[in-house]
Amino acid sequence: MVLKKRGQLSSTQIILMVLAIFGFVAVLVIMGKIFLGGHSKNEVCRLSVLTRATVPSSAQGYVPLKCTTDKICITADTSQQCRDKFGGEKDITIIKVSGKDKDKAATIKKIEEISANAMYDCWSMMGQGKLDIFSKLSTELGLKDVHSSCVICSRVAVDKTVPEIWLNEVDINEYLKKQLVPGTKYTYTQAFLNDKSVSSYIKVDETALSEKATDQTSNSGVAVERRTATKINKEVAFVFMQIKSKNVGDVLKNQFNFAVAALGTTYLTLPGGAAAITAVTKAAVGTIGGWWTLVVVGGAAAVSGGYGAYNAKQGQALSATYCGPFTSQQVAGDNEKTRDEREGCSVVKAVNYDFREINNYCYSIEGNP
Amino acid sequence: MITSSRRGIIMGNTLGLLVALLGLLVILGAIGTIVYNLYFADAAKAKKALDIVMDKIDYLKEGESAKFPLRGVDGWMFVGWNKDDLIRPDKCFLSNCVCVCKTDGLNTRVGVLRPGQAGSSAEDRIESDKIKTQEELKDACQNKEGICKAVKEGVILSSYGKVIDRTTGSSQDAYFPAIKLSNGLIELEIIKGKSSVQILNDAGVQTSS
Repeated sequence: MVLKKRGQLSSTQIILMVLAIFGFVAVLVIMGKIFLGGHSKNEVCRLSVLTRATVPSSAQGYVPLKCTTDKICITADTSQQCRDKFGGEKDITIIKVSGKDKDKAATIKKIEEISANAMYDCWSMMGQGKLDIFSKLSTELGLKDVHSSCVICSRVAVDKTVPEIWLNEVDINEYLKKQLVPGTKYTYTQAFLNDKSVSSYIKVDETALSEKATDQTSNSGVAVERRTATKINKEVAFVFMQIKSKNVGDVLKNQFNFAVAALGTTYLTLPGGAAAITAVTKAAVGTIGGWWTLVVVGGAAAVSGGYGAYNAKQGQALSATYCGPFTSQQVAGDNEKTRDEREGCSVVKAVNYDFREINNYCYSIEGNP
Repeated sequence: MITSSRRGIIMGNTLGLLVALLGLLVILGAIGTIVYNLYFADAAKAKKALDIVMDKIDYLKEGESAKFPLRGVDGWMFVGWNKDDLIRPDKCFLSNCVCVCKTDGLNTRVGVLRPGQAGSSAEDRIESDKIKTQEELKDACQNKEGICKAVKEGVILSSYGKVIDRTTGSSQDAYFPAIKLSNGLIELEIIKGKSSVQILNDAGVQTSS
């Protein structure tokens, strides 16, 4: 009788245990909220990117990317707070700089630093472009065309209290090449390339691109775009773009004739180069053919796509580009063929915050604005 | 013997029950996430877009304007209603309001620019063949997926642009009393006047069907 009692769990005990488990789960959820709430927006975004990259590609669309666009205002007068750019928007990071002539160099360096950090943060948050995060079942099955997907990681605006003419001297490229990433021994360029030995980057034949651009002026609409692009844009978006292809090697061979088209490597290009890749993505919209078709169409689109960034000083930041196989959830029985299907290109690029320019790069945009 | 067997059965079952419960919670969580993203994520994005517009309206002072890119969601539209409109969703009660409404699956005429004049009065806007469009938009906003917010000022909300007649090639100024959102960016312009707020979108050039 005694033994029976000892071995038996009464219904009350079972209910208590179940309640205890539910309580434990509830506490876990609350702790998670508090824990995640304590995380920076970047870490929350990074976690959501990792979560998405590790679920089967067909289910990725159901895992939200919790990446919120960082809004950074560089101002010489904190009462202004980029009113013309961020007026009415919330969660703006205000960075005070000096608008006095004697502090010009320091202000320029600060703008370069903020832009470089924004680009680097975007690149690292998104898994350095190596994670496959925009897969869709419909695209995988060939029911929909391949198109580009983006996350706008951050918007950096320079307030009118900072003299506009100073922005001509902002050189993000040089900053990336010479300055060390905070807390590391690598320059931004080396960090992007994941290679300590690199001190330079691939250059694009700018003249060739200009000539191509001139050829395009006869097309209506392109010339208008150019006129608007020549003015200094005081707001830049750092955009992460990714596109998947079955034959990314073909794209590289044709589009990056100026580059060493080695799959699985990361490289940095000046705006025209990145535009070449991103313009291909735009051209892919509505195209059902293979990548050879896209490359031909993309060639022309590259010129108009890259032109805004070509003229606007801030847009001259380097683009970190990764093309090659993605690291993601591998399906059972993964073989060489399925590996090929997980290739693609990822780019982080500074783009003028203009809806036409961003739509040029991105077919769809994810994350929170 | 019987006792020890009983003890084993009970303990084994309890542990199994606990593991099953935890497994069930995980599965429920995953299903919940999928269902949320399948049915509610678009509405959340659309609401976020509406919130941004409302914040801009609140922020602007009389006589000021703002032009800004906005990310929306495919299949949804902004629609503005005035309190004196004859056709309007009940959700707006007795106020002027701006709504974001799921218009996916509506008649394809919705989203196509129609000849007219941007900023025309409510009476003009609902005349003739536009009545059907207004009715459709009202229904889209009235259903459970429409989200409306009251605005103090009168609302003039429209897309404007040009329509090129496919057969004759002639172009005509046109407007449509709603703004189509997309997964990409659109540009909105908000102009705040003394007694009205204009929410405009340049829809560019479209070809008539």
